[in-house]
Amino acid sequence: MIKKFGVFVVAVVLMMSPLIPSASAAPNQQRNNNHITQSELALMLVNVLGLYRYLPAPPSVHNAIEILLVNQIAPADGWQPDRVVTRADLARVIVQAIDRSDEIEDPDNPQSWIDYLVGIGIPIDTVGVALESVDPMGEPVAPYLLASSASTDPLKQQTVFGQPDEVAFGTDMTFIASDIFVVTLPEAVDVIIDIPRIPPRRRPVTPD
Amino acid sequence: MKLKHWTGIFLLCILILPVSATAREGARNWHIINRLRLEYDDNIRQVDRDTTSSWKIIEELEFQINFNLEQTFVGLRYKPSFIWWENRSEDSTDLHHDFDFILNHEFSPNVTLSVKDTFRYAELPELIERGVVVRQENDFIYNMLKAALTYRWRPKTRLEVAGRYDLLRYDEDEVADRHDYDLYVFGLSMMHSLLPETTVGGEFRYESLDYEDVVRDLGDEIHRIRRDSESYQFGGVMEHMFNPSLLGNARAGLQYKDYEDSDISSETAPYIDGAITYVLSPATRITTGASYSLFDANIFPYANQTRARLYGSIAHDLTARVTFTLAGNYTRGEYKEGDIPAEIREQYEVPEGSESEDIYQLSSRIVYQVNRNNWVELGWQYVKLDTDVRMEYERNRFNVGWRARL
Repeated sequence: MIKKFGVFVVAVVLMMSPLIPSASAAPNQQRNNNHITQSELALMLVNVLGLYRYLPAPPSVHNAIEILLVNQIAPADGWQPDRVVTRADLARVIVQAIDRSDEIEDPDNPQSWIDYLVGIGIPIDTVGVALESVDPMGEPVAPYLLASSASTDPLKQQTVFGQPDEVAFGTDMTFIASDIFVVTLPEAVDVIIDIPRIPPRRRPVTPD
Repeated sequence: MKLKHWTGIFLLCILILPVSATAREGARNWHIINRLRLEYDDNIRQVDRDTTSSWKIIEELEFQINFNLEQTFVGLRYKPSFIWWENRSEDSTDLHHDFDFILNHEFSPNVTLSVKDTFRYAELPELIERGVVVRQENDFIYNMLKAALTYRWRPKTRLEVAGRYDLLRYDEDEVADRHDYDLYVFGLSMMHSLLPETTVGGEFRYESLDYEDVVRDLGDEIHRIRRDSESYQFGGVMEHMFNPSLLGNARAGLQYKDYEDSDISSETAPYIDGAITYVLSPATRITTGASYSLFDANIFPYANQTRARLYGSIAHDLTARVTFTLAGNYTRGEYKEGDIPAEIREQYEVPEGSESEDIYQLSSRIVYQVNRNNWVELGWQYVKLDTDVRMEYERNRFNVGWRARL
């Protein structure tokens, strides 16, 4: 089984290899801001911010907006899924995504966000180019992890193990996914039954 | 396959992909994050008495590569974790490996494919106390592969077909006999946007859980302990944005669960879960939720539990550079005698009637952002297991850490 799984992993990597050359040839630069809605922008942002691993696949717009909100990324009037992204919206969420909101001189003035990005050399003429400036978040707050472990949907439930999964979930939580660490009474009985019967060692003879 | 082979495969992925990716001018699509923690753990064995405490050093190095193409997004993440225990005599080190992969591809504006893989390899050594095996060698491999195809067949209506396959494999045969499983899930959803802020839908889920059959050769007869089950869910789902600061979602329906062991009665029960996210102020974000359903039993030899869970979290920025987070989780599991396979009930004295288990988890963390790429953190985690069906324990962990984006 493990061998099969190894083959699967290699197959996935090989399947991805055709994508790699196109990475250099066709970056996401063609999309014009006029054709992007806020819901599309939210879905793109969770990818480039590395938040996808906290979300179900595929994340819904609701999932994406939720995790962006708790990480303080939102257009000035909040997320409105059907609204077309404006230059001011884009500038604001990009600045928030690169964690530089505190450097905006006049946060209430939309132009201030645009000027800031232009000032540090980040173009915002297209969404694709602007998103290239965004790195994965260093310290994301990801409440979805709590939600997915509680979910009743078997497609969304996320098994969270102890130590291996203790990464920056905003707040670390070790869920008890199974009795990995503690044997139960019936198990203990079984284990004892299965232990080979070894005759007790002869006690060493001592002078006294 | 040996661990070093796995490591080799992952390192190969990590090394090869950035080389190709750097062809893209001006964009750096690979990232490295390092996290180093010093932790004090007051109950490393997770036992109810004669607890052992230990200091730990935890080093995690996380590699991420993203490819953001015109119609495709590919994300890869690999994180090895090294843990050194100051006071764990049987083995003072652990090495874990995490691997995450995601592929989102848009075939056309109406058809999208999403694939997600989560892989874990964890080392947990055998623990022998006073000559008795308390916990066997529990190194394990876990993998979850999920794929979903979404078709937007009307501007406001989409159809989603999804599948999921999980596997859990322990190295140690004794543990594997009881806990190895394969999980298959198939799902069908139809979602409709009533309003830009409101989506409703109907869902069907099929779940098949296959454990390793535990076989007991008792000489004149062979006993086979079976905990496998099949489950069907039919229900509805709703996502709603009340205002830009308040989001909610709910899911409810009926679940039918049937067991391979004919002595365990099939069940029909409601399931429900819901969550709310509220941005109280720009500095304060709150999330809370609850769920109730039939659920896989975490404890051998039960084949089922009825689980209720309540959780909440708050993140608050004390200053522009200091964030405080607090999260809590309460879980109650009900285990019935009737959900134990007949072979076990006949051979052993098992708890009669219904037993319950309460799990309390609390976690808080305060993070100071030193600069754009460095964070210092202070954390506390608490777990209390209050149970009728396995060993109870309480555990506190305190840690101080440094996180850096390289």
